[in-house]
Amino acid sequence: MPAEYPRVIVPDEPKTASVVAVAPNSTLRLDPNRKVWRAQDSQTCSHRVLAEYHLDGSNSWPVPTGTVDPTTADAYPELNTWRTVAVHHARLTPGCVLSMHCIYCPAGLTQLNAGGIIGWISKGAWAHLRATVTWTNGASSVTTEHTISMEGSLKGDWGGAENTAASSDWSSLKEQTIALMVPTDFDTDPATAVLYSEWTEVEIELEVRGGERIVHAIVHEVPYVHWQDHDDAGLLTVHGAATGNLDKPRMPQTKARDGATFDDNRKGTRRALQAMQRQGERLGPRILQWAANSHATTAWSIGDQSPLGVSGSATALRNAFDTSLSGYNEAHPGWIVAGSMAQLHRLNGEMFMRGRAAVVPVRVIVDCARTTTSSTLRLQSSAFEWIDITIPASRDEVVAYGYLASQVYGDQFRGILLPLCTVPNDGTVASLYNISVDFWG
Amino acid sequence: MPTREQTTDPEDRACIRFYGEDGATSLANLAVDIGQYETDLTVGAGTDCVYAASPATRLNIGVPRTIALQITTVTTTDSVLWNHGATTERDRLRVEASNYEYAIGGTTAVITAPVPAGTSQILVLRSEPNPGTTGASDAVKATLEIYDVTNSVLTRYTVDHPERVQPTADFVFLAVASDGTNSYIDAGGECEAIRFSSRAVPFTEIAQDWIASLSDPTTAAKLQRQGMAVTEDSGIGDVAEFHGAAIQHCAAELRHTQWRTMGTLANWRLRNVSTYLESSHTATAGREKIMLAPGGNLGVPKYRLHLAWFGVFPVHPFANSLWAEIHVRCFNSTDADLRTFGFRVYSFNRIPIVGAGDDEPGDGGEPLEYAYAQVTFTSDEAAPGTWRMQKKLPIMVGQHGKTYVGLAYAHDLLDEGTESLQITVRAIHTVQFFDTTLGVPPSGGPTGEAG
Repeated sequence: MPAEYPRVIVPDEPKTASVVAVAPNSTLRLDPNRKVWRAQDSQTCSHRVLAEYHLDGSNSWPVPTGTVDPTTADAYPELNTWRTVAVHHARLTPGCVLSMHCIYCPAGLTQLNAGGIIGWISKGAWAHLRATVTWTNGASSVTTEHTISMEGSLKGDWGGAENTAASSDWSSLKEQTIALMVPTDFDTDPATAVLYSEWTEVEIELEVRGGERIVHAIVHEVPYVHWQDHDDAGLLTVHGAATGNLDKPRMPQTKARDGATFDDNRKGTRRALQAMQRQGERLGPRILQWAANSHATTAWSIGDQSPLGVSGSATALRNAFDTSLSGYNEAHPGWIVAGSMAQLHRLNGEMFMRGRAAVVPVRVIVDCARTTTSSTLRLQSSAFEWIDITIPASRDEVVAYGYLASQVYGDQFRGILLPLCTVPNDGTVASLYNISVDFWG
Repeated sequence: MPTREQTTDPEDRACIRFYGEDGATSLANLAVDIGQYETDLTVGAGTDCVYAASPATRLNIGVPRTIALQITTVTTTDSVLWNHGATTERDRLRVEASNYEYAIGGTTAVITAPVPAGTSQILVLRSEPNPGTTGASDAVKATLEIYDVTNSVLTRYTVDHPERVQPTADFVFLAVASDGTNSYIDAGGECEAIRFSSRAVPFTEIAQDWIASLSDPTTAAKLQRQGMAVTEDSGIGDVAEFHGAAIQHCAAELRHTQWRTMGTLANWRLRNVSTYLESSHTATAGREKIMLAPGGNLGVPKYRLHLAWFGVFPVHPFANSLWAEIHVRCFNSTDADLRTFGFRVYSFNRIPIVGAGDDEPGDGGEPLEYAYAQVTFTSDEAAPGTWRMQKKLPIMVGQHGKTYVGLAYAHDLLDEGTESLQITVRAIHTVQFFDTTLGVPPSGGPTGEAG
């Protein structure tokens, strides 16, 4: 069993659901209903990536290559300054928690201004990647921090120098994983575990410190465990019927059975139907996450994200990444909406659109700001489907809901998603920092 | 009780509460319900409107609801397109001062939008539960979509508003009252079709029915669509009456829900669009890697990966393939000669270290496996470039359930010349899916055990 899945949820039975398409002369095995219920206990197999930070096409890292004497100039990242590189939001798949994985090259130097006649000195070659996760469910919230330490490069006169030989960055690549990131007390307090097993929202802030040379860092879901109160009559995404004859306690109970007054809502046909409905509403792919990082070689001195700026023009819709591109055109570069596996009955592409088109409901959270005059960001994925976001005067996270056109099948060129802006031609500049787009059934 | 079997035809959907068409010819035609209820509307006095008297069950729906109209002759004269209920309770869509105006709960306008120029239009008013509601004051999300058929332009207006009071009086189309007061037709307009649905209908579906249908996609992907949701009320019989045995429904749905979180791996619209020169082939840029992939002159490595386009991703347990798309620009900055370029999207089971460079390989435990999709072409194109790869490749998954995705490129693949060849990469997509041509899809749980 891979180390990153210490308590992976694995179904024992049934191997097949009761209703299947059967080929002629097939051998059939009929399973009892309880096997369906047990299968409903094991729905949380998500591994969606919810936050990431990467080179983003850049030919270099922000941190200097290490050719400057750190005692002579202010050339390297300051020792203690955390720089935010991404802030992403998501609703967790029920029963899942988080894991972090990072690929990087050995870090560059850090510096400290010792003051007086000493001035700048080297504080060694190292880097940190930190994920600050705020777990929220209703009025309850808890924040946890998870940090990966990255070793420094031993190269160069002062240490911390970047590789120079062809391909040498590839051969010095390192990887680290934080296998499990859970809310505080999740593993020790049943009430906390129940609270964050369903409907949990996460805000994931990725920060770096030191001379990071990260190639790709991701925070992704891992199936873990779904706790529930046995007397919870709410609409949960699991049936929770599992009792006895199991290889592991997948549905922990929060108290002992209590005789004649025992009220157990984890069983029965009605619960099975409810669980199915909730799964339909909540389980879906992550559409995208994007964060603005310039990767300019002086970015470390800015100390924070550098937003994608869109300056004003006439009222035309223009592409935020390249304002020479106007309007929606799927031939233009953009993201993709890959929601083919989450086509809801009420939007059923096969029944209502003849299998030729599909839309998925989404929630969009855009971290943005503008100067002077009202501006709009339009996230558009077809000629007919888009979501408008009014960009606020002060930097804020704006939430919007709507529909986006999607691929009908996973191997189809469809659903190209473009960020289009209308920014007035009066000196106004719109700034985009972070975008999270979630399936939102 | 309607008995029509549901099909993909626009008038046969379970959500259709009324569907009338051919109204430009005569209102008597428009009043005929070709939907599943087959319950006609009444033609109003003076034959300038159609209406349902006190439609307690069939049309008395506030949320979710979609009312779509095809207008074949547009008028900007003040008039009413539809009106539900008496003055103090009504929902109404009307033309007022050359604007479309949607009002709820009497005369409170919540959406006002200018009437476009086109003489033929489609008007859609969609009401649905507000996903971001904070309480009773914004419980409903209403969207007015106006498609100017003449000029092929869609405009969309959205507002959050309170839960409406359910009107009980007549539902009148094309006038404010069944006597034809403020008739849209009398004002010079003409309505071809009316469709009333008891669910939120996205405009894409309207467009499929009334504007232009897309063609059938070509695919090898396994697809699991959600079946009818448990609480879905078709308006016919009891809720969930047509699911069959509940447990049967659940068993069938399980097969779908296990696939639902399958989506993209890399979904990158790159901000840093560096230009990569042909001269970088011989440079000692550490971030590039020469692959053992000959092209052109025998034995000369051509394709090279770059860390700028490399990442690690966990793989959905049911996925066996990736759909790869890249948006690139390849050009010759010296002259107009076309030159051959190549790209590959790789999936590795681990970091593809082969021992080159200054350090020893860091991961020796797992044999390297990889697959790639490749595209080659001749080009000298302008910005921003083109989607160049729309191909599939198998996913190579490592011991930790992850795959490593990278983009490799080759300048001057066929050694055709020495001009200054350049490439820029603007987007990389890799979408997980199950390729049915590679085997039987897993029907079991997350481990993917076959049934």
